[in-house]
Amino acid sequence: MERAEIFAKLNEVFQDVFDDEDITVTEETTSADIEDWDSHEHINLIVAVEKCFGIKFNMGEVTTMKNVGAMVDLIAQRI
Amino acid sequence: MSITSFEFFVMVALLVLVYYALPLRYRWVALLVGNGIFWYKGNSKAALVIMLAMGIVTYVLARLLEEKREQKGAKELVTVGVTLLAACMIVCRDLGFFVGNINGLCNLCHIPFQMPDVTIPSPMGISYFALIWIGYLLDVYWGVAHAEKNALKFALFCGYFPFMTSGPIISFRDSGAQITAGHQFDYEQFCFGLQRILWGLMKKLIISQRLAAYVDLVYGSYNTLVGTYVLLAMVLFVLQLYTDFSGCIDIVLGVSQLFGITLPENFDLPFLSKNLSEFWRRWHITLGGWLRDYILYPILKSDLFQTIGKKSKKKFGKKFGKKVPMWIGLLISWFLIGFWHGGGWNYILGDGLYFGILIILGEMLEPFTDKVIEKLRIRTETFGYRLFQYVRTFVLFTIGLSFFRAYGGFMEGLRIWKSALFEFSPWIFFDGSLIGAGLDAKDWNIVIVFMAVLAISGIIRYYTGEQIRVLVARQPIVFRWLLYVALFASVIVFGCYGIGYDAQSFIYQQF
Repeated sequence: MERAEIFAKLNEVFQDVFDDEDITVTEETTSADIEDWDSHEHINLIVAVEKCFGIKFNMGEVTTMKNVGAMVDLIAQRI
Repeated sequence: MSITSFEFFVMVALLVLVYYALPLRYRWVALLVGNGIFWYKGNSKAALVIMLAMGIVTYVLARLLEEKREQKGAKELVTVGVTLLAACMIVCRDLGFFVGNINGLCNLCHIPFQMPDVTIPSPMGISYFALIWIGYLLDVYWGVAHAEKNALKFALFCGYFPFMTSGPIISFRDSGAQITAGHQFDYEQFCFGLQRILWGLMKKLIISQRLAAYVDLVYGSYNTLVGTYVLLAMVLFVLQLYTDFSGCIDIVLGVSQLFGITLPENFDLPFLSKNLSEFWRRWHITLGGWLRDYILYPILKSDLFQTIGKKSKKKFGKKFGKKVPMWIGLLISWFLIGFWHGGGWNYILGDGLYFGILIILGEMLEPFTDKVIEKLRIRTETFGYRLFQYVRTFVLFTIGLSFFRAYGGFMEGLRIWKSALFEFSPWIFFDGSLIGAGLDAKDWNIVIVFMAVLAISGIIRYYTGEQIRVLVARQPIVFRWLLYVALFASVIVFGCYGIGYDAQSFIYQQF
């Protein structure tokens, strides 16, 4: 799957989890850029991403992802 | 060895000299020597043995985990390691709590059984280093940190002497390499370190020590000093704890900066928080981060909690339902925060579950409060509303901390509240009653002046977004040095030292 495709699918996941259709994520997007992306929503997001791509992140990856770009790197490695 | 003691600063000064005299690749050895002195001075022989045994087990398990990662047996190894470290911490610190509760329960049920009160030597800083080592094992298991091969470098990281008293709770993945590497001398960082130590000493020796005199007096005689005396003591205890704990962290971070090491911050203007949730992201930040990464996230990601989430979404709808597993996870985390602060129901209820329940209630009631705000046309962006939010957060925090300070237990906390509400006597602020209540007029004035200095520095930081030290460093040299000398002289002249006014140990050191 191309990186652009991963981003397109991720956008849908983000929009669904945060109930906001205006969200567009980029490589540099972090939790600071999305109002409701706090530690509470982080796990909901992670689980939704796992489900969408049929992959699993380990807990270390869950706690150390710096931005969406890092998330896409991990997804690209797994699919 | 207290980190406000003369011998501590002599040791740090000698270590600085040795550190920068050594070749770059051997500089970490100076810090290891510092560890050795600090451990030896702060522990009994038995406690030292327990600590060394825990350290050896952690080192060996981490090496094995590194080899066996993602292989059969790795999960069992990490489970053994985490359980062992947690059990050591609980047994060393909180055995009395369990014995007391079991004996109490037996009495209540008329069971003729009493467990003997056994005390096990508790290594200094076990509450901090046990969490750090548990995090280290989990990070190695998850593959986000490599196990340190060099046993001496591991000993340096895992018992790094500045954090042994009151944290911060660091992680090997973020700070391990920094602590074990050698650093070039950086004049600016060195000066910032010295300034930070002075700032911490000011908080501890000038403010916290004085506030302690009043708070201890009132909490020790709440049967005679009632009403507003007690309410004031509750408020002043919050300020005492803040100046004590954040002062200690300033010293720890400042000492580390002398060696070129930057440790994570533990406070970020907590009293400028709009709600309790934000407050706890700004107060004891590293403890919150540790619980989030190693307790809350794994719980929420577990199959059980995912199933709870699915069921609750079906039952309560997506928006509300997805929060249910989070709230259960939060309650577990807050219970553990309370328990970590000490084996006592006053900590578990007053410093743990109380905050968890309030935060969850706040989230549950948010749609309702939003409607009220809309109906009453309250302008939430105004300074007045923000001030209301800051005061509300402070009051809620003070209520929780009043139980935290009731060292006699939860029931004593209730008795103290009964005493606080016995009478309303605001005139004590004006009729001179407070003078002599632990502090004389001069001491009260000193507290007020230096609290004002602290508040002004916080407000400046809030509006500029920059550390005061950085702002001061840009000032003309004469003005800059006047400030440094004034701060140094203040600590020397107004600090509480000596016989009869001995610097108390840090409040968070006892945990």
